[in-house]
Amino acid sequence: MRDWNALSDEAFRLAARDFIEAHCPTHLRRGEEHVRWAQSKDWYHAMAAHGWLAPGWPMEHGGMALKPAKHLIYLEEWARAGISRVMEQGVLNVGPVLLAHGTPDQIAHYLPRILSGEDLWCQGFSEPGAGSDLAGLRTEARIEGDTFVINGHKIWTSGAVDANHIFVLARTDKTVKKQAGISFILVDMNQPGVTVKPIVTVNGDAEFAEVFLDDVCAPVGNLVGGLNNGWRVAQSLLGFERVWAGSPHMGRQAMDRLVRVARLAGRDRDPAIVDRIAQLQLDLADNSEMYERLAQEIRAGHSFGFEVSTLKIVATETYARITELTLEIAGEQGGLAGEAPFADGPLLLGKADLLRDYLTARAPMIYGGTVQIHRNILAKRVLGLPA
Amino acid sequence: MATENDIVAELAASAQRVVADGPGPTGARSRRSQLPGYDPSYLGLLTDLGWLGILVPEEDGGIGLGLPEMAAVVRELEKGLMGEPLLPYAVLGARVLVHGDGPARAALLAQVPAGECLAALALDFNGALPAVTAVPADGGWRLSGQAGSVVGGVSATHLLVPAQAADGVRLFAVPASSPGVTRTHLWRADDTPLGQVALAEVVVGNGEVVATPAAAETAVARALDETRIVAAAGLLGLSEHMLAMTLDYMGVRKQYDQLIGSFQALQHKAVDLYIDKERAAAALQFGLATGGDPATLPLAAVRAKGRCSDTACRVARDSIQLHGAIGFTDEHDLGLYVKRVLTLSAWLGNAGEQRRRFIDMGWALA
Ligand SMILES: Cc1cc2nc3c(=O)[nH]c(=O)nc-3n(C[C@H](O)[C@H](O)[C@H](O)COP(=O)(O)OP(=O)(O)OC[C@H]3O[C@@H](n4cnc5c(N)ncnc54)[C@H](O)[C@@H]3O)c2cc1C
Repeated sequence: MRDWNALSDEAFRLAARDFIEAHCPTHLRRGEEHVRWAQSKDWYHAMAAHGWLAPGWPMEHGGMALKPAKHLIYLEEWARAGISRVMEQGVLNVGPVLLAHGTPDQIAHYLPRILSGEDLWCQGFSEPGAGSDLAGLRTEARIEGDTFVINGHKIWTSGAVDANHIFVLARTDKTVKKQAGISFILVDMNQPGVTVKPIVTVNGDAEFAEVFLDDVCAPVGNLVGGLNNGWRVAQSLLGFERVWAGSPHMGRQAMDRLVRVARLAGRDRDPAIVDRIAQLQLDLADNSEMYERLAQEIRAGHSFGFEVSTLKIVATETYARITELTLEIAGEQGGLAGEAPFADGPLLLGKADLLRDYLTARAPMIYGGTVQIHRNILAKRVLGLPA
Repeated sequence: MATENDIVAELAASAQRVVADGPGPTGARSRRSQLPGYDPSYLGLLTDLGWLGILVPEEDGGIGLGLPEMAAVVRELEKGLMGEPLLPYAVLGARVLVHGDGPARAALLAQVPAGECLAALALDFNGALPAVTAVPADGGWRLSGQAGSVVGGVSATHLLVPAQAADGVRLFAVPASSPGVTRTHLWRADDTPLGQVALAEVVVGNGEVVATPAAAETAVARALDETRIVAAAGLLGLSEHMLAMTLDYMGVRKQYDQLIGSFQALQHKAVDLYIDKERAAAALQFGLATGGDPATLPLAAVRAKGRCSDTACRVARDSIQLHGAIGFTDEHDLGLYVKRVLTLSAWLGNAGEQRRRFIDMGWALA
């Protein structure tokens, strides 16, 4: 195992670029949000084989054990290359959760199977009746002997069509306050009673799905972090990745496209348009400055708090506004699906066309806590406003 | 050894004490529409504290600190509406002198820290050089014209006048008492005076030249950008103060048997103000980090002044709204802060003006 932290930041960045250049297929480098496992598995295996799959995991478990500064570089380089995210729940959430709350047996069993791509995970939290108010979830797990029997209905489950494992939050005690009766359970999807029904997104992708659980079984040994302790376990998810959700990288890429569209549409000399582009450039620049301040804290090994809510709000809303102006600048062509023709020649944006960008930018304001929920958090926890 | 950050923190703490011991909004209220727009004894305090010399290099007799230190002081002082007359004399005037290359530079600069030289830069509105001409006369110069926007002009000892001569712009230090100088004033939004200066055949010697044509315009441009960054810090301090006032009010005012701070529509508005304030702090930090280098100073000033002006105006407006009718009264202190914001954000270019500069520098489509 290589000690990546021993490299200088610059050397590590170059190593990441070399690795991507050598191994990442071009069809995964178009900045597409969603790709199926069949298209991405070679890349997944290549990352695993060369030790690049799990940047945050400890080395003894096959991870890169990257310190924060290097971890941010890793994320930056993946974003810069426009690499699509591939079945990431195992690496991103299951591994860290087991390392923090799992038993030695769970760690020994599941972590290698994530690296090998044998187990592909999805996150079964949201339900039709429990979105922002996740603790209101109604999926139930009752204990029969040494087995959880689970019944319920999960929804918006990203990657469920390709996954073979799901970690669910299920109610295990109905007599207590809602957060106190929830458990975090690992479930094998290869069994009768699990039904996955794809949901087509507004973009036409099969990105997420409904997952119906009818008398689905999981051994009690698949409980993580103790009975009725699932809320606390779930809260510990996405520690480091929460920072990345506030990074300006999506906005920056959208801004590059905006400037290209402005030129193609001949609006780059229209003062009314240029003024609005300038405002968004300034927003993006100042968002980046805020993000950099937090990144510096993190690089210095300091902990972070509710700044991530602030960053998430500004990063996702600025990104969305950039796509809005792009569509407006495109004029009538902004109303087209697919590649839009301009007098200057066909607009070559790959599959990431204008409409798609515009719609894609809606999602980050919803997942990972909506921007309204993050405002609630800031109002209460940072501004101390009354309930 | 004290690090730079220690000094910044120490100065900020001192400024907080000055505000706590000072007359605050009550003082600002009593000075409204009074000349010179500040309490002369406060100028004495600033002198004793050494703050008039913060931006004067050590070799010129000052303390030789930088923009971060001055920004820290002004950010805190504005919370007590006490940023004047530091801004015109110890920032704009002092920095113009620092960047000069003429014979008058050294002697005047040496008098700045003690408050003996209060130099105000004579400009026209919107940062334009004033319509003043200089013609050679008897081994010196004769200056004629007017300057419409001279902050600090009414009580300055010296007017720093950029004047157009046949061979370019020269910057002169004109003693304010010189024959031919007429000073009048307008009132700014915060009821402090904006000096207006007319020069009728004012005779100055070659020894009064602060900057020759080789340096004059750059000296003015640099000093203006440096001052924009410090003014941005003042606007950030004002934003912080108004937001704190508003949050306090949301925590005491009840309607419908509830604290208004419990209404979600208002909570989200307050959060948006908080986010804007955080972003303004980041823009200021960018300005302070890069403003030391003349090459990056213009962008630093554009970003800091533009963002902090925009944010302060928004916090000001929404603070009035969140206070209801009491926020619309003369009696409530909020109005004093709002008017100070309107004064400082307009001075040296508001957010729209900074955005225009940003576009002219080619950054919009970069
Ligand atoms: C692309 C995508 C992928 C996803 N992937 C997954 C996944 O893999 N696994 C998973 O479990 N979930 C996933 N989700 C679901 C996501 O976590 C939820 O969409 C999110 O928590 C919001 O819940 P909801 O959609 O039910 O909206 P709701 O909670 O019903 O909200 C509807 C609207 O009401 C607002 N609102 C709700 N409550 C409040 C309040 N108290 N104050 C103010 N406003 C409020 C919301 O902001 C929103 O605007 C995904 C969602 C998306 C869009």
